[in-house]
Amino acid sequence: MSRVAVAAAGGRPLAVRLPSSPWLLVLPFLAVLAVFYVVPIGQVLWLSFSDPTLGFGNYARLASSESLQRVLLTTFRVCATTTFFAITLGYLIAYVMIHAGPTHRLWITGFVLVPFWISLLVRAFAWLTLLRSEGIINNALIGLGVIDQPLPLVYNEFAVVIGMVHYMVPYAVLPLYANMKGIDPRLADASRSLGAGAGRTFLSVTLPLSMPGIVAAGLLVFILTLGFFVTPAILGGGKVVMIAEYVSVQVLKTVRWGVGTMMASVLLATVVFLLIAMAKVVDVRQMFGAK
Amino acid sequence: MSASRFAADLVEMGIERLAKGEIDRRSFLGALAAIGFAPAVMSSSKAMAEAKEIVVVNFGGDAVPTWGKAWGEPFTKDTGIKVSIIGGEPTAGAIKAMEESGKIIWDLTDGDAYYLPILSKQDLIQKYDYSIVDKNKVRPEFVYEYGLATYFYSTVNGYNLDKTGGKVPNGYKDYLNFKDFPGKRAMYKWLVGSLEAVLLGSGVEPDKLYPLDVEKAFSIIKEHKDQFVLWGGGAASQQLFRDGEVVMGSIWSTRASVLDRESKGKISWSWDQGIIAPGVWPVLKGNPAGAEVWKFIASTQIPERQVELLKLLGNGPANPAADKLMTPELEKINCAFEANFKRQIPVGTAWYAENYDTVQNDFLDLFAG
Repeated sequence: MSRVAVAAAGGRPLAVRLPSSPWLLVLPFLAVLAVFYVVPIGQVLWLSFSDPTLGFGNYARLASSESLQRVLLTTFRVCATTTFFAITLGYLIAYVMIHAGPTHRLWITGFVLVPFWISLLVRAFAWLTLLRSEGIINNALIGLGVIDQPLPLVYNEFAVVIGMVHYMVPYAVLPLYANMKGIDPRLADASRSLGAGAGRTFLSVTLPLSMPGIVAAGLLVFILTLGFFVTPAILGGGKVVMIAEYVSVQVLKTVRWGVGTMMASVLLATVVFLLIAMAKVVDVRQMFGAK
Repeated sequence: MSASRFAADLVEMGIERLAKGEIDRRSFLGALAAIGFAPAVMSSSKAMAEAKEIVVVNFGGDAVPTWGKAWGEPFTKDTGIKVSIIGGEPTAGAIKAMEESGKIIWDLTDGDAYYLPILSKQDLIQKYDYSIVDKNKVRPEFVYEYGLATYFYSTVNGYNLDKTGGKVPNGYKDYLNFKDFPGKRAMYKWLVGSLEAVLLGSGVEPDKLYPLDVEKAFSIIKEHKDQFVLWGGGAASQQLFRDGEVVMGSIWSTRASVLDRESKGKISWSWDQGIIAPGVWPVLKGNPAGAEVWKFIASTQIPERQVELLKLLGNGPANPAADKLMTPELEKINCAFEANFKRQIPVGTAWYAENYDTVQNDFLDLFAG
């Protein structure tokens, strides 16, 4: 576009070539990103090195403080568990959706999407109602005589994982479904016609072909869960502290901005590292449908 | 160039209108933002200092309309100065963020007394003008350089008679008495009153409570960790008692009195060993309303206005003179009423100012570990 315009104005094509036009088109967007995204993140990074004193003090704390390590460990453990269950459930749902009839599929899509639109806060409190010691589940079990003491279903990691899996399943289903839709069904048919049973066909044909979808969905779910704040705070009852809550305490309550921004920077670095590492293994652009 | 002059002219007009009281500060600031003008430049100008509005930020909920009714409206009637009560999260971090951005639109905020040393050390708040605000209208131990008690609240031991089998616990003395009172205990996630409850429960005498023996408190908590249920805000604490999740435990007296009324006394509280704490108002450095803010603070010391707040919200009046205006119902819920006050323990403000950041983080860690 720009080259054409320049050529028309000058009467003849210019010898100097401007940056190719697609770049010019995204330039305003890049400028906006720089101002509203790169600069603030840069400030956060800078704070992590400069508050309260200049240097690596806040990062050194990471090596020496057991509690900081525990927060990181809890975050990674909870996120990994959540990712595992969300992907497993999501895979089952996506698999059924692929093989269901159109009406059936529409219903399933509805059941996946409706909770997707309900506020995180509402869902966390809904789980609280179900899981607390005089909640619906415990009361029902006690009423049926299955147990005589309420089960500790809430204010622990178990409840946090349940709440987070519930929230993340749609994020797993959608990329998995998109991926599975791209697998040629004739391949499975071919496998069957060559004598493989249903299980063998799934293990040697369908599962390997859906691997990029699993990796993509897993990465998406894991990265999103890293930043969870409300669910662990409510369902964990103070007993499951993840990075986001820890950062918020440092920034708002104890006013240790250096430590808070350091932890936020660690989170950011983890996400960037995961994306780079993943790019080495699979084609990230293809995974997210950019190619 | 001409565009920025035009903007500057708009600002000038805005300042004039603001000074005349034709527009309020929030609309003015909104207009500034709309024309892309940094309000930081304006905050120190003379016109802003004469602005006829005082912006007060508290933690939201019922405190927004009730503070307006008890304190804001009568002040506006006396002086013509508008008082805007805004609900938010005026934590120490939020105050620091506002000061660092240079865009100061709050005049004063609600806070705990231990905020004052934390904030003044970082040069974020102003010394009180005690020629206008009257020190003598508050118990002397609650007067500080950067603020004084505006109202009181108390973290008391609440209990659910349905769950204790009708037995009333003896303040926090029975907090750890799991033999006579089996079941879970409520505990405040943000520390104030939490270690105190455990230490008093283990037999520490009230006058030996501060400085808090953190190590001892932590080891007790560790031992009974599964017995404690943490709450982070007033509504959550109320819910824990209402749901029967806890047998007893810390809760603000304001919330406990609501439960008492609603449950017809089944869920109630004891003043004994309650941790009574002042609500204070840090005034931000470079606050837009300038010196007018002291007159407003002084006006909140009028006993009638403090009693009005007690009626509406359950906060204890900071001015002991309010005791003369009590009815029996108000006496019952007023944590600052002399007879109730004597049964409680004043919070260790100096200890919290010194230790809050580290101990709060260790406390978080203790439960997370």
